[in-house]
Amino acid sequence: MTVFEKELRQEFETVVTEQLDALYRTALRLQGNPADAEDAVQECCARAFHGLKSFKRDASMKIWLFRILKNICIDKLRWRSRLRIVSGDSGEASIDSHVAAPEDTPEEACVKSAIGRMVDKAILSLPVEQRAVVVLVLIEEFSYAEAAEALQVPVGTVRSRLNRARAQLRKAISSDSGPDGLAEAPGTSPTNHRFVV
Amino acid sequence: MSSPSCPLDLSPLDLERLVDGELGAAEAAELRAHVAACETCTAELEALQELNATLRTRLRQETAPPRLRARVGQILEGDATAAPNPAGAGLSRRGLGFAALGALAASVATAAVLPKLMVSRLEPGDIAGTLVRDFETFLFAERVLDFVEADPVGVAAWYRARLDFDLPRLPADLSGYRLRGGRLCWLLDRRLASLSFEGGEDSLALYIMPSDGLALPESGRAAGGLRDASVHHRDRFTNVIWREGDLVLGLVGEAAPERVEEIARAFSRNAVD
Repeated sequence: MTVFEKELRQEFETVVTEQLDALYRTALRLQGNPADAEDAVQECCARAFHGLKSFKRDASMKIWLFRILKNICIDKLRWRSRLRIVSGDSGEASIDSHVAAPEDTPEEACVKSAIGRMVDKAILSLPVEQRAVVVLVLIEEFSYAEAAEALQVPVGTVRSRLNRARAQLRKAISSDSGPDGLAEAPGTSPTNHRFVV
Repeated sequence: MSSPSCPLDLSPLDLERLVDGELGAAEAAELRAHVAACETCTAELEALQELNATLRTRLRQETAPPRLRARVGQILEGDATAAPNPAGAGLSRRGLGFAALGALAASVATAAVLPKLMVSRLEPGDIAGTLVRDFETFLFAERVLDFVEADPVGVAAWYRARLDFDLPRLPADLSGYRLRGGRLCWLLDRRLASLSFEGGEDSLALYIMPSDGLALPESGRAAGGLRDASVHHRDRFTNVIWREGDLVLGLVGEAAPERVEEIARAFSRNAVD
């Protein structure tokens, strides 16, 4: 292994370690369930590791990783949609990862979980292209330019997708909330927990 | 525009760029000055900020599960068997009639299994070790099949679109083991097919790959009736490796070694008949 290759590998390890949570969260929102998300991230890291020599510095390594992940997720979603026709699987995604913090009261935990599910449902209702922009920009705080590079689309496309996604998210979340934009959590008093976006 | 009552006729995109930190300092200051004086834009900006905050606080709490960390750790160590499982359909093995294996996997604590998988290192080009490790990981780490298909024609068609070589003729039933589907794997520096066959109590994986540049193992016992064949035992697994034309095949299973050899011979006869 040359010095250059060694340095590249070290950089790769650092970036993967730093970005692993973000990669997982991104895959989770794109794939819609934890098992597929784990597979997608694992495949992304393996592909990137094996293709490290071909990494060109036209983008940062972080962006390169997210680009690989996006392509893998899109491939998997395409394949899954084909398979669903054959198997009759409804394909309904479920992300049940809204675990309450230990310090939460039962009521808070219940509301957190309900809001989390509502947000998930709203994101999963978006077309995958919009979902990807929402995850990268709104959750992972990528700049528009970084998101555009990762998704291989113009910055203007990121902007317009984000605008459409925001409008739909606000509509979906407010329609899923109770009257007056209040979170509906079973067994809780909604008036204590305003949730308006 | 953000609202008919906004005198500047601002585009919603301007406020979004402001809230996303996409404006330069001067432009942002100018817009903020307007927002401070415009009730409509203030409300719109607050709504945008609240949406951002909601998404970030709710969804940034999730972290990669320990199992994924372990798998990625293997990749970073250069472990070939942790390589990609591309184009996967993401089907749960539990949903594919692998109830017994699923229960077994669930009964074995992940923390107890993964360190074992991580400590034994493979030499580059160790075909038997690589295939056994992949199969073992598949069983115990609850990996998924990329597709479910019991019809050999359908299986061949699925791989034809993804591999640059044709599979040999496949049987629907291999000496009592039924074809269940497969995975596309990246092992030994190549894309290869891993077919899954399910028996009553156990399963087999048949790996099929192009022979280019592969040095077939010389160690291990030779298996009669198969070309350039060898039999290897790793832990409780038997791996029979042999050549069919330009392809190398590796059959891995937990059944008795004689049984795995017999199944490999049956496959070979079916492939050339």
